[in-house]
Amino acid sequence: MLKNCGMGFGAMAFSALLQDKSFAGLDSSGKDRHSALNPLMPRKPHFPARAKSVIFLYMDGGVSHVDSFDPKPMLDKFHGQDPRKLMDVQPTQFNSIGKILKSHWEFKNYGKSGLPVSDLFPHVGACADDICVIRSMTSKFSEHTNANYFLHTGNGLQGRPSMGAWAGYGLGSENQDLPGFVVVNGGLVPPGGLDNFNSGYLPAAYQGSVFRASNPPVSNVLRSDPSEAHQRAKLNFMRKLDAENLKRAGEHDALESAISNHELAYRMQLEVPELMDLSGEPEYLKEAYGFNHSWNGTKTFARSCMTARRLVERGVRFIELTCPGGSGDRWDQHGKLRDGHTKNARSVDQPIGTLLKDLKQRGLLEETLVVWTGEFGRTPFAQGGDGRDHHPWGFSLWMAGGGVRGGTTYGATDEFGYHVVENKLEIHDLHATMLHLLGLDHERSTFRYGGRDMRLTDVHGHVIKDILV
Amino acid sequence: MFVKNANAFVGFAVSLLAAFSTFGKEAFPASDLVFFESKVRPLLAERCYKCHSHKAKKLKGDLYLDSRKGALHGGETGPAVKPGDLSGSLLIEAIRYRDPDLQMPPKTKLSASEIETLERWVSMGAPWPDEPEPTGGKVEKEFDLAGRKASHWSWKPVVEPTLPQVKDGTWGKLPIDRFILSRLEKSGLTPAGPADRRTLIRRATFDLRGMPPTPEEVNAFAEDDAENAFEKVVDRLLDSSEFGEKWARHWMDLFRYAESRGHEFDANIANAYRYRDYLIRALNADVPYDQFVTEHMAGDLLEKPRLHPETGANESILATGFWFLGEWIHSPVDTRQDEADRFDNMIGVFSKSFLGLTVACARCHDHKFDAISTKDFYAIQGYLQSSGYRQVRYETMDHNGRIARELDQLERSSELGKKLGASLGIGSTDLAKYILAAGRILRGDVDSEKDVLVKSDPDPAGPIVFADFEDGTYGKWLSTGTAFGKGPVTLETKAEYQKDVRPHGKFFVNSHNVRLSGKTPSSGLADDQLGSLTSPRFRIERDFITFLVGGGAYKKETCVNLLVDGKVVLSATGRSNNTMTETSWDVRRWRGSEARVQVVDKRKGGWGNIGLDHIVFTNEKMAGTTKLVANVGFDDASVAFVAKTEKLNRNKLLAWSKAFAQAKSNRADPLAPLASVFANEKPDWNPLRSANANLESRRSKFLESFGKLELAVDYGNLAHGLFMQDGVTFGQRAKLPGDLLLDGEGGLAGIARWGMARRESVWRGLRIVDSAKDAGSLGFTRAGITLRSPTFTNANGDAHYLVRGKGKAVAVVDSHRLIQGPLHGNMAIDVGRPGELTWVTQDLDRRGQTYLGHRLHVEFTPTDANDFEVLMIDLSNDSGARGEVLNFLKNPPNALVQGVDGFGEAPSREQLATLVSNNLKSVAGKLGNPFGNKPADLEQAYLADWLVRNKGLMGLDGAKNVGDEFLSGYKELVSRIKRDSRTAMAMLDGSPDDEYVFLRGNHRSLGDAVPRRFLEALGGLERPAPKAGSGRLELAHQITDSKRNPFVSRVLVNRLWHHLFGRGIVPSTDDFGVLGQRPTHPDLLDHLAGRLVENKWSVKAMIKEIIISRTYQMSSEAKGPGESKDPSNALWHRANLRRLQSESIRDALLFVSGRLDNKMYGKSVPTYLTAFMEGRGKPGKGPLDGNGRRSVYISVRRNFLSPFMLAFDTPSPFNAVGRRTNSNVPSQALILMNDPFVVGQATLWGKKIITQFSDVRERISFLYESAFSRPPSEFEMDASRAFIVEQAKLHGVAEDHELPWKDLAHAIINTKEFIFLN
Repeated sequence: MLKNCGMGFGAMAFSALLQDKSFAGLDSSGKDRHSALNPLMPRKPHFPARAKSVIFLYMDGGVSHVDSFDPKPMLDKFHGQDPRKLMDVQPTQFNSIGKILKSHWEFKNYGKSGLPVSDLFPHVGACADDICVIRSMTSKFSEHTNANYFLHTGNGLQGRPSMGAWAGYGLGSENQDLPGFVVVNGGLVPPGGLDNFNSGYLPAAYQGSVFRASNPPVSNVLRSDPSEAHQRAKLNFMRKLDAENLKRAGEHDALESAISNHELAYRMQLEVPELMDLSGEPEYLKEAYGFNHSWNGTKTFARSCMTARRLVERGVRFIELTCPGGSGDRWDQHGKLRDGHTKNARSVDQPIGTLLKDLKQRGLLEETLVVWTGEFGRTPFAQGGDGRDHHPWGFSLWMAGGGVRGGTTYGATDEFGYHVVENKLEIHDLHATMLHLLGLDHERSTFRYGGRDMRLTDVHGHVIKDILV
Repeated sequence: MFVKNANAFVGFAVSLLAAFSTFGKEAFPASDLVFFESKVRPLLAERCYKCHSHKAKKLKGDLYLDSRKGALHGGETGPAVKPGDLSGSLLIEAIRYRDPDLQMPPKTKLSASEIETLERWVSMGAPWPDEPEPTGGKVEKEFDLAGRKASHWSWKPVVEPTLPQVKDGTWGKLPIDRFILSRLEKSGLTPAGPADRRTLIRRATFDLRGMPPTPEEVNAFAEDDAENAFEKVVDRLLDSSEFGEKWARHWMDLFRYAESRGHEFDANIANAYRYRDYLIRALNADVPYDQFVTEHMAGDLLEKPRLHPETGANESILATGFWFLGEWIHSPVDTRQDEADRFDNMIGVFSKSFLGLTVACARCHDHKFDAISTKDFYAIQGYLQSSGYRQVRYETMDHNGRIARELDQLERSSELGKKLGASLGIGSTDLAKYILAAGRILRGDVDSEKDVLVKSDPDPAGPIVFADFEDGTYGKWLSTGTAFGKGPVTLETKAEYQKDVRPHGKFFVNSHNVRLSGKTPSSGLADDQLGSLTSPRFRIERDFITFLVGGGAYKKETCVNLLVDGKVVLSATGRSNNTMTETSWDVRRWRGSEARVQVVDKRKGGWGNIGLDHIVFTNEKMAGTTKLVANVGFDDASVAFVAKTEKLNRNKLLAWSKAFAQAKSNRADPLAPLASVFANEKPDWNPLRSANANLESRRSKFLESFGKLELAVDYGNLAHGLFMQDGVTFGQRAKLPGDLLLDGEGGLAGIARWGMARRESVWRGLRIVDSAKDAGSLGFTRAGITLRSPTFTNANGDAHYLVRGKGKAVAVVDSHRLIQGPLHGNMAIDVGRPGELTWVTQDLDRRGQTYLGHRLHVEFTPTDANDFEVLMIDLSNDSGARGEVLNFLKNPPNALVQGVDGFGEAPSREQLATLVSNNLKSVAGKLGNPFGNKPADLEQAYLADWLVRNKGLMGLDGAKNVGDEFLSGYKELVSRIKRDSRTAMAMLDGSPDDEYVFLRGNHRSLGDAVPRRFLEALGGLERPAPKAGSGRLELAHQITDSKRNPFVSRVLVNRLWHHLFGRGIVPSTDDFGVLGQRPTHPDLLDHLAGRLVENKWSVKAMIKEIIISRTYQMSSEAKGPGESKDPSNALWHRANLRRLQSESIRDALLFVSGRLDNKMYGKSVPTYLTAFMEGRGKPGKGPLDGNGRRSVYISVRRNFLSPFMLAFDTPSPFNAVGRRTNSNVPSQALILMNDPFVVGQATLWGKKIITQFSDVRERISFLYESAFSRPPSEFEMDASRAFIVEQAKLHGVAEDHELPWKDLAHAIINTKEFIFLN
């Protein structure tokens, strides 16, 4: 599936067929906002952007909201009771509905804002005044794969462009030597596979490049020739032959840009290893991220988070991080909730906390939108003895930086954390807001395909104005 | 079954549209109105009117809440308010926020007191002052289908255009050229000169074969002076088998071809590649395109399908596999939604591919731009709703289908039933005498003498059956130990794993007494039983003793012995094989002696058993077992005596005598009451009196119970056209009570006692070879042996199947079939037990996964070789009624002794015998005609079945004498059955099922049903689908009717043009609608469409016509004034420069390197997986070079697509792609520079060059000619030589070494000319 890997590197890319009308659908003014010559050339947003880049922290499997960012004292009160007696209970994915289950974790109030965060996330809690917790998110799907596609592409089925691809399509890239949409794979490829990061019907230049947090991060980026000199000689020779061919064939843009493409690929062979080389980073910072942590997951995610910051520094538009494995079946704790959530949180909490601080300290947080979310939440009642089932009808996520008001919460679930009762949101609203912060009007960000002007938000979505600075 | 209407067509049940109650001006108490004004109206205004009032910017859900009328009338989902009815008011339901799909206001729940206010208001009766209706609001424009059709070019019929005048009459001879030239001349342009021959043949070869020409082919063409030199090349290329391999890929793009389902686990699509192979063959065979389309739509329904010329396999049906190449989801929470999404994709693919129309855009609302209504979408969806999926036995289906029809015809023309009835009727004369005589024998009222038999034996030298155990007992044999149990066994009671024992008749001796152990056979206890069985003493009067023996091969331990004077004189064992074989002892030296036969089992453990049957005394060695049945054994001395004295037929009397003996111990036997009367000197009348004591009440109770069932399907009373199956094994129609049942050899197996779909025994043992099975719970052998019920609605939550025999039932709910994972596991269940009629319940309301109200059908598949019958599907909750029905069918009132009441208290034996004889005669007389469905008919069918199974009673014998002529014809047909077949995906017609309009695309909110039909704008209303079947074939005929439908021909010729020129005349190849692009040369498009139909839809003829035009042969050089006047080359002033498709790039690499393996067809080669390809459902890793096979044969797994292919724009398989993107991304360069596959091919190519040629110039020339179809220029030659020298130096090797040559080959691969077509 690795159209994603080693491909989708943007830059200087050109396509004769991109001149085709379908590519020009972005601006309702009718102006062609795209340079046909370079799909990743930076483009002006619809309105001034709050964020230049997005870091999307994807919590694969679904974090329990009532154990993390949405405290529910009623669960303590009714712990062990039959939920059917207290509420109308809808069928869940596995539908073995047990008793009300209180949280294993204490909530503390953090920062000036006093934002409540559970003991799972002390490092994130320490950044409470920078984050905005949304407690009224919903999804349409209670099954991982559909929910993942929905979260990533705004549609529950395979084949649509990922949000990172839309960002690249709308804005181009600030760095012409790196892809505009990078997924740093911590180890867990989400259910639904790499198609969560695909460009769908958008041009291939916008697809997510999946990097491993290793060097090399992608295939074919290491030169096959034994030395620099060998390769240079080959390229020089090729250039001669190509020039000769151009003379014969006439002035075909396609040929010329294919030639420059080779030059770019050559530069990329240098740029990408440099990006992934963390040896120059200061030791104290590595320590803070968790490079030396005793837990392997933390080490892995620490590298991912630091790489994310380096990608932001290099102007990469959209960066998604997937979780490291080894902590149970992702965040998907149908059983062993205490153990699984503890381990998963141990892997990501410290690296994320440090990432927020690191970004802030460098002044990057203001122009970087950080989003933390799973594909859905988990039920307030137990599945089995110590598990929670999938729950799409009300869950929490948080955002930080990039124009989001920190130290706040938005929306609410009912007293059990079961259904949203205030400011219900759907994934389309999240997408609309993300695009908005990047300076894009989601209703004007369209691509003509299959007889329709397609949008990331389909025909839905509202910007969540209340959480913006 | 029987008398009740199947409710298979009950519509999708629940609709929220309740009756619309009329309301006039109602007067409300002033206090209520005050409450409304002070509490309710402000609340509605604040929280609802933004979306639900006449002032709303955009009215949502068609619902107005700013008038009482609006609230009561409601919106899309029905009335919002029912005055006084809280639970019936959707408004209240919505604000209570209980149903996640119905929550209002959408963002934030009302406060508890606000909810209470509205509840109170509704309870009051929804008071509202009498006020004028508000006005304003946006009124949507009516959908103007006719107007849209009239105003857009593509709906207009294809009209042959007049040829335009051109100034330069010499440029091109074909009309194509005239159309192109005239536009160029009008724009002041001149066409480019012709491409040179080497460029031209490279272009044509890549276009038609997908690979470069060989240097020899290039040179031959370059030197061919003939006028038709190019035409010859084109003909050769069109005839090559590689043509299909290149062009198949274009349709694979359209039909989102893949071999896995994507989604979470990327489940396998079984045998998908057979569709790919179909495409290649169809294109190579130049199947006319209208036929090609028809095969895709309805290849399974063609009266005369296209058969493979060599194998006879059905080609046409393979085309229907394309419908099922899409993404499938396991465990969808909402199966109806899942189905809607699948159908949407199928309709999208179909309509874009064949019609160039985006019909799927009309799923939620009438098409925003084109003349396609939402009704059109659901009218098409009905065809899918009426069609299903299967793995089809495509290789043998036509052959076996013919045999099935001939078998049926033979059976019917032979009038077996009538003949049988007549024979039985003849046998019924004198019957009373036999009954009386047998009665005598039964009660021992015979003065027989010990040696009477010998005296009475009519043939002193004839064979004697000594023992056959057919009365089901050991008779006078003596059994010791446990091994031999209480009596002989039958094929039904023996251990199943003993398999093919092959006894004679029904009963046989077997020391493998599993019943006694009570343990599972695998415990080995059955073999551990020990014992012996010894015959009564007899005199040896013949030369040989012949018998069947099987089981263990242990001498003295598992054996049959002959004892003379108490000593073993002869012994035989089995052969460690349960199949019994005939053995003969020569006993001449003991003639006249008294002897016994003894069966011994002294062995424990494996093969510690012995089997014995059919002991015959003869004067010939190996007399053959079958012809001996007519003889009588020693045990039947009384029979022989009575037969002789009463002048009765001995065999017939023996049959009666045995039947009475069996009936004595079996109360269910119809003869049992009679036996009780006849068996004893003093008759027991009770069984006879009680036999039919409650006849009428039993009958009426049955009818009443049957009436309580809610039958979704009743094979006893099935509407025409609803007997559906995959294959032929369930015969040509359902069996009705009284129908003849045949066994696998054409013998009589019995009479149908009830209406049913029955797997015909002759079709047992069908095998599937060289084919994958479906993923998930459907992964068992079901192709060609599966019964498909009509579609019905799950009315009450569970379905109950009345079946006999062992099999599987798969409930296909909302056509969901990827049954895998947590949610729908109980959709595939085991049903039944061998030989037993039983109800089986399938839980369709489980674990909250309720399918209540969903549409489904059930697929039944037998899983062993025993009888398999399906009678009915009941949806009622009445298990009592089901029990009654079952009881009656299993054990109906006894028709044999009906009428006995007429004789008073104690009829004479003579009266009884006459009654029984008449009853039997009457039932025999009914055979050959249907019995009917009334209870009395079922009773008679039961008796007829008993009679046929005991036809010896009527003097008929042997299993196979239903008609000798029939039997020879039957055997001949059966010998031609093909039992092995490969399988492939295909459609299977279901019951006709129209679809409802989903309001706003929401399947929970249904509008009116739309009859199945083609698009209204193309005359669909005039030709609705036929009543029976899906109607896809008729749809296909409409689609390919070029007079009424201009799209199919236009869209195809445009695709051909697109593939040959790099851009279509309509550039948006898949969208001829308003949002698509306009044709650059509309007249040319229509001319080509007309030519296609004229040429009988030949794709190859069309391609040839285009390719031999001057237009195709122009040079691509971009140098003239055309570049400024026509910069995008919209007018075709020259040929387009095109990048090769990914497949051609890879194939060209293999071709030049010499690695290409030109093997065609078959299983795909697994994709090579890089270290970066991760995810669930990861397949096995494939070879780096794909074993040298062409790219079309490399596996396409949705979640693990080849990075190489994707980089060069092979589309991800999700929807129809007629026009690939043509991207230029650095990953392409990185692959060509660094990918180990590319480097590997460069290495091979370099080696090949230095082995084949020794001269440096020759080597370089050959490289160029292979890659570019031209020799190098002097500049290139010099540069290449210099490069070799330089690289050799860098590597530190000789110039003759393979390394610099690999580098040269690699560099040439990386030059743009390698991947571009001039």
